Amino acid sequence: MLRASIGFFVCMFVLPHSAFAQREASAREACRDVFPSLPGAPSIPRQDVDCEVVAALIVDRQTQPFFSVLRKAIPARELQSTRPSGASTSGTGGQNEAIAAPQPIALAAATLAAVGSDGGSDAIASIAVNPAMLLTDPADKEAVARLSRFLDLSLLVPVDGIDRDEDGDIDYFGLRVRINATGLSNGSRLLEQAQLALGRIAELDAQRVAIIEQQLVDATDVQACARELAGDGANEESLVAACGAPITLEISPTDYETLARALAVAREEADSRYLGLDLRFDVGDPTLGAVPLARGRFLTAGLAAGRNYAFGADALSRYGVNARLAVRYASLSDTALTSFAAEGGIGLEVRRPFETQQVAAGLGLEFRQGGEEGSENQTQTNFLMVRSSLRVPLSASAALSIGFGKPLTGDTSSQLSVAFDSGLLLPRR
Amino acid sequence: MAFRGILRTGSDVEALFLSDVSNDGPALLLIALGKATAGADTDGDVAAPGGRARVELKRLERGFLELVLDVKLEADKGRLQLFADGQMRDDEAIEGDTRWTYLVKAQPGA
Repeated sequence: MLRASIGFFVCMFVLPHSAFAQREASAREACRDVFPSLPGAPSIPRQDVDCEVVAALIVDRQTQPFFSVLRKAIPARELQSTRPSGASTSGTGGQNEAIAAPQPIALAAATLAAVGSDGGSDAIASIAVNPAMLLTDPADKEAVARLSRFLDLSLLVPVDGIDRDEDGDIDYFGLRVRINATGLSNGSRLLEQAQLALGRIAELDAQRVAIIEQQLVDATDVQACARELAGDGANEESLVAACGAPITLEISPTDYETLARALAVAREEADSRYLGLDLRFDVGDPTLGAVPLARGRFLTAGLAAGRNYAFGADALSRYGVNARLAVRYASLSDTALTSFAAEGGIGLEVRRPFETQQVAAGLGLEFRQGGEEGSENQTQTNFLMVRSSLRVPLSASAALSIGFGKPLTGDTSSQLSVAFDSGLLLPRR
Repeated sequence: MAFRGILRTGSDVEALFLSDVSNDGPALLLIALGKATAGADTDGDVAAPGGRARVELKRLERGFLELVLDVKLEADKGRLQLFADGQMRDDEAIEGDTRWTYLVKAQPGA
């Protein structure tokens, strides 16, 4: 009786367990043998490979095509560059934006502006570069990415020389530094929605890995089954022949479309706002002779922010509000006068992509308040000015911009500038 | 190649995307661990052109890990790196949207 009981126990529990363990071990060896030959298989030590690893590779390959929806969800306007292509001329008579925005150029750019004011006409050239390009080999993209801090540096000089009166002093040159930060921060609600969408996909993929792993272990021919699942063009008939049973993963495109939408919305939000630092340093006479005794050194530090919104049936056009607030220190050379002033402005801008450029128009108000009484003319303070701008692309990398400023209050000159902007086309690897 | 191999349970992972300064717009970096037990852990960050995005997950549980980079234009470039317990595991110059996947499992014999 005891022997019969022991025999019954062995037949019911030990033998099946032993057979199961043998099947698992056999499947594991088969998975180790086939894994290196599967398409897309990374290099993994053999002893670390099992059918779960093979299943993970299979799930990755079967779900990868669904991620292509990320590209399809991108609106047409995303295919067009909207980066400004001109160097900064802000704060000079050649300013060709209603309100200067600290959005850096991508690589390098130049602007040549003809300026008209009460003092006559002149021309300013501005060249902008990204300092990372000066510090490292442009081909070493890792170093460029590490060193760059999303800024550009512009140098402004009068076109016909920096010492026209040959008195040994620089007539004028200016430096501009623009730094921009993305408008979407870590932890934002929109970013979290994208995370949730990807989390859902990852959770389903983990379940699929478990399903495929079990099916590989149960397969009549593990290696053939793995090859069929990891390859392209598997159908029910071939899967039944290789795996012994039809195997289909329930993959819903809806999950990937949800992710694509969440990503597009989050990036739209990131792209629609900016907060930037705007630093300016001028030496000489920024009025280019329009105002006597206006030579000096001028340092301006400020913040600029903006928000834009899509409009129109195709959502390609955008309108936005830009604003800036800064502190300006002036030290005049001829009178040894120093002063501080607050300056800033607010404006509206409308733009629409046109191939790789954009057509843009702006209208804004600028002010500068402060300084010593009686020196407003020399330090160019205590005024309120209305500015307008229009920018029209001429080619893929060049544009013509016109800027006009008229004072509403204060004793400062009206300004008209016509500028040619050119951006360096980026190499494609 | 999207499937990059195995990560060990209990490890801390950190991924960085170093955005090329010439890129046209922001890039979104997402990481998600689909746990074998159910649920998911996630993190996300944004990189401006020339900037950096960083995501991390600590004490990984068994499951399937997805790392997804979504750039503005397919021509946007940068460097994608993944570190496990402080050691660089993967490092690649990339162009366009990119997806890396990993299987998170225990060390054999653990």
